[in-house]
Amino acid sequence: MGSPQQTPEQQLFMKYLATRKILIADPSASARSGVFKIFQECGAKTSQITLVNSFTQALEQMEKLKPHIVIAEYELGKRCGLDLLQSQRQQQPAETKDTLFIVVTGNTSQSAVARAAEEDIDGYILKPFTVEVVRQTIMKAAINKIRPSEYAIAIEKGKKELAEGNFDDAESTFQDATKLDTQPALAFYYHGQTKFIRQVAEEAKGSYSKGLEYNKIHYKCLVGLYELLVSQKNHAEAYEVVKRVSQYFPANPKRLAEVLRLAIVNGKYEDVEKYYAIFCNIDDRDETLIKYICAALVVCGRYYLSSKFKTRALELFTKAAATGTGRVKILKEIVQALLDFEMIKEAGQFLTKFPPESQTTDEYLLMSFQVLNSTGNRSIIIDKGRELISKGVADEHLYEIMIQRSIEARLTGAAESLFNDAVKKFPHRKKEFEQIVAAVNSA
Amino acid sequence: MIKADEVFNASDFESIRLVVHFQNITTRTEVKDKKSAQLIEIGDKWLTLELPSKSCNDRHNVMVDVKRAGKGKQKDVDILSVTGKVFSVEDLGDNRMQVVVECVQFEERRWNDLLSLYANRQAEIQKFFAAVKG
Repeated sequence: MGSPQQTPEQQLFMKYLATRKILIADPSASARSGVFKIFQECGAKTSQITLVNSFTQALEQMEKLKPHIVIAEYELGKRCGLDLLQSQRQQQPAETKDTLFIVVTGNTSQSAVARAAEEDIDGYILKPFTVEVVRQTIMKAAINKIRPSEYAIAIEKGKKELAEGNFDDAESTFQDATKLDTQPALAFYYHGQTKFIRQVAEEAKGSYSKGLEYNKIHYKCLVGLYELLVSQKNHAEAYEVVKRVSQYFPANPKRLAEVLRLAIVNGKYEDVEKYYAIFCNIDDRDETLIKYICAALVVCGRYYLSSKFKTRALELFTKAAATGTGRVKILKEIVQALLDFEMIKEAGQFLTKFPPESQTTDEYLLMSFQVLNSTGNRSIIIDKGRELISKGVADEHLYEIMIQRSIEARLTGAAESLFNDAVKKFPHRKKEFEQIVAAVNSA
Repeated sequence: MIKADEVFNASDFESIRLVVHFQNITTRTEVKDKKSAQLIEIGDKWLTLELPSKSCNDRHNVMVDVKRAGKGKQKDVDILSVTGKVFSVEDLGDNRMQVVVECVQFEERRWNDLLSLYANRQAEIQKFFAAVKG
């Protein structure tokens, strides 16, 4: 750079950098200094470049400096560098539009790359880098901002019209834009968005689909189409679309949760296991996602139990219990499902996975009572049941078991008192209690 | 038309994790903790590394082994082995230092393999980005 052989693009880039504020956020001091030197060589002013090593510092500096260019490591301590962009979008939406945001990272995983692509960042540079790759990537991204194509200008114009509520103008601008590029998926997406806002759902669907004809993995078109189908409660088609999205962009926990929900709604139980495999490869799993995946595995397990595929069901329950380590709600659902299908021994095995602190709760005691009912001695069962009732535990199954066992033990007075107590507490179940009494007596 | 299979192939995006083993031949010491040696930049027959402080000094003879980390229990795979001389050192604070190693002896083919590994991946990522954004 700086030599007489500079191309017009290089000159433009140099001029652009000379007045820009740059923030470099990377825990590695060598990486910071490497990128710093490249910017210097390309024409950036040293005084305009700020280096930070943590997410918190980066956030502070972004608010204070309002940099034009942000270079961030994907793994910024415990946080993700992309969160900086999200934070800036929320706090300074006007500035974000013109900011160049580039990730420089050693993380080449599919989930990181896809997540960065979803965030619409301007570049993704791998570490270890070469000077040339860094220079070219930043220059290309900058040139796109400084000298946008006719197509990009038209899209921006349409977006402005759309934001101002000039729907007719926006529609026509996006329509014209579709002729300005050989791959006009983005123009079709915004055309679809305009139609969607105007509540012309079928035409919106047509535009998104047209965009996808040009580019099958166009992220915005896929998401636009998915949201439209969800709004129409068209779960079957929505599932097919979101399945495609999660295949190409597997990292988004929110979307994986949606895929799981729709897989269950559409009865695609076999698919849940595939999503579990995707889940296992995700580095940053949040609490919501863990809950969703566990719940989906349990629902599928129940389905397999009802279809008499017990081994498969147990495999899924085991995965759910392992994924949701110590989460009582998940374990409770598993044990309950096994009890419902009379797999008492297996239910007992899952009971042992409850954390010690939860083994005194009513829920745990009730489930372990149900297991005991199938495996224990009658007098022990009755004693244990009485203990629970005297503790104030009120549960329909508990009363059912106690009525049945008391009659079997010829404790007629106790059985009658339990029956009356049960009917008082659960009047809607009176018929079932009567049936139990009749069945035991006839036996 | 952009076809998904042309720009998206899961195996293209398999994570590459490098493991760097640094030995100081002059002082007969080595950086034992693999995670504390990082390869930051690849230059024209030189490498920039980030290492724990006092790993080496100017003009020390060193050996750098770069391996691709194996998945799970798989063994790390050799990529490049370089014998070189420390060209410059810079204190980075926090008990870290930056070291530029001038590469003296190495297999040219291996060097190019390392460069291609990253260049190809970089190209794939750029293609994917372009397709996604449209």
